[in-house]
Formats: sequence, structure tokens, C-alpha cells
Amino acid sequence: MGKDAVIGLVCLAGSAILYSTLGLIEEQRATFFPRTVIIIMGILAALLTIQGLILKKAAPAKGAGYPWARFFSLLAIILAYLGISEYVGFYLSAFLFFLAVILILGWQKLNPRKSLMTVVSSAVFTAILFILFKVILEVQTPRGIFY
Amino acid sequence: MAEFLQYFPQALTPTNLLVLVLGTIGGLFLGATPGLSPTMAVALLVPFTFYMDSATGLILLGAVYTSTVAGGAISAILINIPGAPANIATLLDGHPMAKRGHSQRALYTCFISSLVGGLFGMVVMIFFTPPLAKIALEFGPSEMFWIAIFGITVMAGLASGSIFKGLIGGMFGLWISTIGTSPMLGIPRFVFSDVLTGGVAIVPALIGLFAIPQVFSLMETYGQEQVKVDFQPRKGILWKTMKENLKMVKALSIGSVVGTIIGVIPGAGGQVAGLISYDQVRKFSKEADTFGKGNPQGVAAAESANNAMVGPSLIPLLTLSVPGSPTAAVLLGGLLIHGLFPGPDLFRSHANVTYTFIASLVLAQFSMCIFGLIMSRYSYSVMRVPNLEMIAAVTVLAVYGTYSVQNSFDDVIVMFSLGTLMYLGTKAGFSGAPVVLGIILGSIAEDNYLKGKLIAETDVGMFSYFCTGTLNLIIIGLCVVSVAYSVFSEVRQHFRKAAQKKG
Repeated sequence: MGKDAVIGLVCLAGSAILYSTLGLIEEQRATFFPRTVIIIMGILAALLTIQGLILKKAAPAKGAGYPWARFFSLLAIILAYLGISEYVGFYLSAFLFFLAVILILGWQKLNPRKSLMTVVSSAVFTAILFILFKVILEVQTPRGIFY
Repeated sequence: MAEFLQYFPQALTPTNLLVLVLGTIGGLFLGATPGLSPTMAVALLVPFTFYMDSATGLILLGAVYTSTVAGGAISAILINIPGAPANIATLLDGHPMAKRGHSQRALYTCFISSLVGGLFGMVVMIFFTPPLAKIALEFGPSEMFWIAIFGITVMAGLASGSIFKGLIGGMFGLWISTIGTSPMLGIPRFVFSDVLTGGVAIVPALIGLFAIPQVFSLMETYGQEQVKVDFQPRKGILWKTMKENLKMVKALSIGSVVGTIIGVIPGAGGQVAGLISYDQVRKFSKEADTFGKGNPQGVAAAESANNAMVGPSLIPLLTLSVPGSPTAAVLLGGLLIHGLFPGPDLFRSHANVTYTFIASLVLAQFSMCIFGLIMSRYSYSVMRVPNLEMIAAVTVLAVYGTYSVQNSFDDVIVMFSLGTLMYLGTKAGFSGAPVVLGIILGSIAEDNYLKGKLIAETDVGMFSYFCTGTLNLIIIGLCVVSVAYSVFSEVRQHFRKAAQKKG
């Protein structure tokens, strides 16, 4: 089975799940438009599956593997950043996030000079954010416990 | 034209000029940075326009749109990576020029020809947009519904490798637009979490769908070696290149005309304009065999075409709300959040904003050329911004930009969730542009569909109301042609590849 056929089946399953949630809406008159959209999405998913079965694409050449470790590390850092930003404040969390991305994802290229530069560039970036959002645009960001 | 001249001075106020210059420099920088797309750049800036008056906000977005297209040529020429799809044709001769030690000449040619093409496209836009907008006066709910569908079919064909994936993305966007309260009945729909109570707003969707997948893509390419060329800026090259450009009348004329024509056709896009123009100039050239080996005419053809496309690509956007490119779709979001709806009203009730915006786009061509020429000398340093710093900066700006619109952390969660989902979608061959357009045009489609349904039920019936009448049939025909052409191209490409494999 081609890759597109699998993607089509996943979309078809997604459409079926969305269709099943239409029953949760109190007033069925409000479901007319989304119902039509979901049905069309399901038909398109079925067509994609058929296309994937008929027109099988050649498997892509094997290159370097996907950097899963880096992906999950970045995802974890972003989730941690989003998780703490309301509690420790937007500016401090931005500083920590900037630092964490470079130190954790780029640990292989770290040396004392690079580490110091990272701290400085994180501080400069946070200062620019503060000037832009707090001073110029006057955006009310969550202050958290540390501002 | 009279209105354009009347409002032109408004684009010259100190604030607007400052925003124009900052937008141009920022756009050139973002365009030149490999891995950052013009669409993402414009999407990230949309929230900032909230704090400006409508005209100034649109000037910022317009300046960034114009300069990212030209800025993308820098990385195409120097490291053989097009900054945007519109710059694919530029690298065919630009990078060979750079490899032969003519980087500076290639960059200067790029910005001078971008100015020529850009100005040509703007003149066409100024003359043709207002009369075309009047056609939209004839549109009722059924035509507006079909126009929304047409916009999605165009983007589906343009942005994804597969028309079915593009259309599924568009439908998914339409579904997302129904999350929240039903417009007619006030009933909550698909509110699976408190975060979704207010529905999915345009800004979190724009930023999430374009910025977050880019963040993960930057992570993927971290540590990869780039092709480097020797770049030593020298004095006296600019005048020499300007004189050389004056002799490229044929290449610049073909590029400007092709770019303008392609720009008006919704969905064709800058990459098509650049490649067709390049091909035509090569065919008409007496030195056809030097193309692809570092002929500056190739750079001039590609760059005049992709910039000539910018102004005309806004004609269908400003008149019918059908964007000609993914970046134009984001620009549509920028218009809507300022309460500006494409159509004749834009040129009557909001004439001051619209014409100031158009005037600023003309100024943006000059500013792009001037700052592009200045930046050319330092372009190699611009591209040295490391991926990790870029990942951190884009993510933080995405969070701040999303939060600042409604001071809502729920929006940030929606933005990040949509973005992560979109990144997984891109791995399966989906594109963010049809989804965004579905979200933007969803409420227009549903409102007009329901209004039309009410009219149809008391009058001629659903089929007659929606599927008959000259305008309805023309737009339905365009939708069918758009989808059929995409299916045809896809099948043809498949068999061509299969034949190549056998051969």
C-alpha cells in the first residue's frame, strides 16, 4: 500500500471521528455547514486513498535518519517553556527558553566561550523583547512570580 | 489614478516611512535567511499591526512581502538555497555567477531588475484593481459562497503537491472555522475544551500554521553543511552593473510582462513567473547556451518576473478576496483583522487606507532596491545567523505575537497545537496555506451559504439559487478548471516520472 493510501485512510478515520462528534451539538440545525464540510473531507480522503493505491509513488531514497532525539528534546523544551511562562513571567521564561534551546540542542558544539556568548545573546534578545513589547507596544504580559 | 495621487502623500508621513524602511530591512533579512519563508515572516508580523493604525499596519506587511521575495535571491545566489519558491529560477544563473566570483554583480543585478519588474507590476495594479473591484458589486450570497470555495481550490492546487491533500487541508480549515459559536443560532460547536470556547482566531492560526512547522524544520536542518562561495565585496561594481542592466532591455521587458500576467492569475505564483520568464528569455537569447552557466540575463529575467508578480497578485485579493499566493493569503488575514473586507468597499469607504497601502507598495519597490543594494555588501554575514538562535527567536516571537492580540494564553495553546499538527501534516505532504485560507474564508463561506439557503428556500430552491446564473456558473467553472488542471498536472507528472525511470 502506497504512502498516500495510508494518509488517505488516516484522514478518512479523522473525518469519521469528526462526523461522530456532530451528535454532541445541541441544535442539529447548527450542524448543516460543518456536516457538509466533513462529508466532503471524507470523500476527498477516500479519493486520496484510491489515488494512493493506483498511482504508487517510488519510495524516497534513504538519507540520514530523522533526528527524533532532537525533535523530542525541542518539543519538551517548548512544552516546558509554555508550562512555566505564566508562572515565572514571560520575560524570564523567554530568557531561559533561549538559553535551553542553544545549550541542550547544541551541546555538542559547546565550549566556555560559546556558553558565555549564549548567555549574553539570550540576555540581549530578552532585553529587545522587553523594549519592544513592554515599552513600545505596552503589552500586558503575565508577570509571574519573578516578573 | 486620481485617488492614488490624492492619497500618495499619506504614505510619506514620518511614521509610515519609518515603518516602510524597517519593514524593508526586516523583510530583506528574513528573506535572505535560509529556512525562513516570506509567508512565515508576514504571519509573525500580523500581531504587531494590531498596535498601529490600519494603513501603517498594512504598509509594514506590504513592505515585508515585497522585500522578502527579493531578499530570497540572496541565499539563492550565495548558497544555492532559494529563500522563497519565487527565487528558484534565480539560482539557475545566480549561483553559477557567484561560483565564478561574481556574487556582488549577481546581487546588484537581482535588486535592480527587481525594481524594474516591481514598478511595472505596480503600475498595472494601480490601473486595473479599482475597475475590477466594481465587478464584486454584482455578487450576492451564492456568488460570495462560490468565491470562497474558489479561493480554497486555487490555494489547494498551488500549495500542495497533491490536489486531494490541498483540498483536504482546505476542508480541514473550513471545519476549524466552525469551532466555537454558530453564527446564526449561537449554539456552541466542537468546543472540546475551554480553550476553544471563542473559536480559533485568525492570528493564532496564521502564526501556528506557518511559524511552528518552520521551527521544527530548522531543527531538522541544524548542523547541515551549506554550499559556500568566495564573497569579497569590491568597489565600482555597482555602476558597472547598472550600465549592464540598462542593456538588458529584452530580459527585463519579458520578465516584467510575464510576471505581471502570471501574478494576476490566482494560484500561479512567483515560482511559475520566474521559471516561465527565464525560459522565454533563454529562448529569445542569442547566447542561449550560456544560460545556466552564469548569464546575468537569467538573473534579471527571474527577478524582474517574481517582483512584477507582487502587485498584480494583490488584484484578485483586493477585489475578490482570492489570494494569488500563500503570502497573499496571510495578507488577507491582515486585512480582515483590521476590519477591511476585499471588494468595492475597500476602494470607497476605506479609500484612504487602501490607496495609502498601494502607494506604499510603490515606495517599497524603491526602498527594497536601495537597501538591497546596501545589504548586498554584508549579505554573507546576514546568512550566518545560526539555526538554534533562529529556532528560539521564532518560537518566542510566535508566543508573544499570539498572546499580545487578545492577552490570552489560550490562543498560545491553540497556536502551538495547530502548529505541531501542521508540522506532522507537512511530513505527510500537506501545506499550511489551504488550511489558513479555509479558516479565513470559512466564516464568509458559511454566512453566505446560510443566507443563500434562506433566500433559496423562500424563492427558487437551493439548486437554482446556487448553481444557475451567469456569475455562479463562471465561478463554478473556474473551481472545476482549477481542480481539473491540478489533477491533470499531477497525473502527467506521475507518468512523466515513470517514463523517465523506464528510459
